[in-house]
Amino acid sequence: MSEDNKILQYQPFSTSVSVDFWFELTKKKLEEYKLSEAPVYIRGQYNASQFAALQETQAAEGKAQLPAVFQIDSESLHHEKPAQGVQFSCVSPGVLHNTNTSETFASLDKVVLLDKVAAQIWSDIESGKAIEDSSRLNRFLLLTFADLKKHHFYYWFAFPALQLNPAATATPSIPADQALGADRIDSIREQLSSQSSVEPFFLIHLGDRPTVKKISEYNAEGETVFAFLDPCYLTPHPGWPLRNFLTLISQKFQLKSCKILCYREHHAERSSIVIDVTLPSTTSQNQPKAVGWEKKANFVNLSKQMDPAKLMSASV
Amino acid sequence: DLSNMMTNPLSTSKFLEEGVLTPEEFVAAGDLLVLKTPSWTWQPGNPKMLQKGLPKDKHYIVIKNVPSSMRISALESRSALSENREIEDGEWIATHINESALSEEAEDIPEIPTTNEKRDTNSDDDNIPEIDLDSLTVGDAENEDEGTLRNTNIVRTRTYDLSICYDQYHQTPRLWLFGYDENGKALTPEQVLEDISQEHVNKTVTIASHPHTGIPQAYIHPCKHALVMKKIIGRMVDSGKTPRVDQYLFLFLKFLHAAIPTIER
Repeated sequence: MSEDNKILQYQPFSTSVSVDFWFELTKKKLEEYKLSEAPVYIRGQYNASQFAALQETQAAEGKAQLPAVFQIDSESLHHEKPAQGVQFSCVSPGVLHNTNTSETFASLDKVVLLDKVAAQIWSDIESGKAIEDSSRLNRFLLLTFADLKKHHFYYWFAFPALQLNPAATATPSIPADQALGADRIDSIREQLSSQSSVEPFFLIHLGDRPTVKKISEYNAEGETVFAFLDPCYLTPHPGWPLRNFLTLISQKFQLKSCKILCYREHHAERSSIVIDVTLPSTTSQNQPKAVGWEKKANFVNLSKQMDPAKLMSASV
Repeated sequence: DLSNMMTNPLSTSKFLEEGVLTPEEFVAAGDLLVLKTPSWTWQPGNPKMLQKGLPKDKHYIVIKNVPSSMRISALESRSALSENREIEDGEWIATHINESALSEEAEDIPEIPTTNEKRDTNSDDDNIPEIDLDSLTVGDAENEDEGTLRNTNIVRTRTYDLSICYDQYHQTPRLWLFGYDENGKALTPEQVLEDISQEHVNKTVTIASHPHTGIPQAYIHPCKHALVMKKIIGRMVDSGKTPRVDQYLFLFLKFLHAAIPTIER
C-alpha cells in the first residue's frame, strides 16, 4: 500500500420518490396487496449522466455539488414490464416491505432486513450470478408504511453494501483522461454510447485500443480497468455502487489491487475519475457484515394532492 | 379534458402559418426530443383519455427529477449540443434563437387568473408524522462504517417532474410541472407557484388534474402558445432559416424557459 492511500469513502445515495409512486402504491394496496405484508419485487434506478449540462453550470459558478440520486416512480411497482432504459441509467432490483401499521414500520428489525438482502448479494457473488448480471450487486430494500386515511407515507431505503475487512484503501483520484489518456476515454465513451443499454459494471481491456467488455469476460492477462456507471458528482470520491463491485473483484478475481474507472457523463465527459484501490489480502469465507440504511426514515404528506376535499378548494 | 374529446384533431399542417401542430407532428417532434435528449421519455396515455391521432404508447413526454436550478434550455443533452456544432449552419434550430428575442416573446404570455391561495406550507395540523422518525435506529454498524462519506457539500435543490402533453383544442403542446422540495417531498401546487417568476405567476399558470396521471399539478396555459411560436417561426423565416416541424419542442422549451425562469435559480 502506498503512503498516500486512504480508506476509500463512498458517497451514499440521495433518494427521490416520484409522487406517482405513492398513487400507484395506494392503488396496489387497495386492489392487490390488501392486508398482505409479503415483500414485493420492485425496481429503481440511478443515472450516470442525466444532468450533465446543469452540473457544468453549477461547477462553473462554484455552486454546491448535485447529489447522487436514486429514484423510483410508479413504474417501479411494475417489474414485470420491461424497464425504460435511458442511456447511462442503471435499473436496480429491489424488494418492498409495505407494513400495515406505523408500529410495524417502526419496530421491524432493520438489521435483519438488511442482512437478508446482503445475503442474496453475497450468494450472487459466490455463485457467479452477479458476474453474469451485475445489476444484482445493486439490490436495494424499501420499507414503507402508507397511512391511506391521512395520505401520509413513511419510507426508508437501504442499499446493502458488504463491508470489506480490512476496508479498501485508494490513492487520491485522478481525472480519467489524465490517468488513461483523453483518446482512450473518448473511445470508451464511443463504445458505451453505441450499446443499447450499458451494464452497471463492466471492464476495459487496455491495449493499443481500449475495449469495453462484460465482467464475465475477465481474464488475468493484459491490463484491465474495472469500471462502473457512477452516479456521484464528487471529484475525490466514488459513488456507493462501487462497494459490492470491489467485494466481487476481491472474492472472485482474487485481486489484491485494481484500477477503477468511475465513469461519469458529467461536465463535458471530463469528470470521470480513476482510482487505484488496494483490497484485503485474503478473501472472506463467510458473508461479511453489511451496512446501507439511509441515515433517517422519511415522511411525506400528500393530503394536499390526494384528499378530494382539499383538491376541490385548490382547483380553479 | 372535455375539449380534447369534443374537437377533431387538426389534419393538415399549419405549422408555418399558425405555429400549431397536428397530432402526427407532435409525435414527430416528441420523437426528436426523446432521441436527442434521452432523459425525456414517451409515456402511454391513460386508456380512458386516449387522444385521436396519437399512438397509444406515445401520449405525453416526461422528464423526472430536474433540479430547479436548471434552465429548461439546458435540458438539451450534450450529444444534442455537440450535434449542433456538427450540423451545418442553418440546419439546427436551437443555435439560432437569441435569448433576448425570446424574452420579448414571453411578454406575449396572456393573463389568466388563477386561485392565489395563502401559501400555508407547514401550518396544517395533519402535517406531523405519527411516527417519531428520530427515534428509529438501524444499529451501530451504520454509524461506525468507515466507508460512508458524510458531511459533504451536497445541497439538494427543489426538483421538478415535467411533462408535455398534446393539447388538441389549442393544437400545441402543454407543459405540466410537479415539484419536490429539498428533501424530495412533494410540493403543493401553491408551493410550485413560488418557483415561477412573480411576473408570470398569476398570468399563465393554472392548476388542474393531469389528463393521464390524474395527479393535480400546475400547467402553463397554452392559449397563446401558437401565437408565440408563429412569431418565432416567422422570425426564423425572415432571417433565411427553414424551421423544421420536428424541432418544434426544442423551440417551445426555449421559449417557455424565457417565460418561466423558474427552473433556473
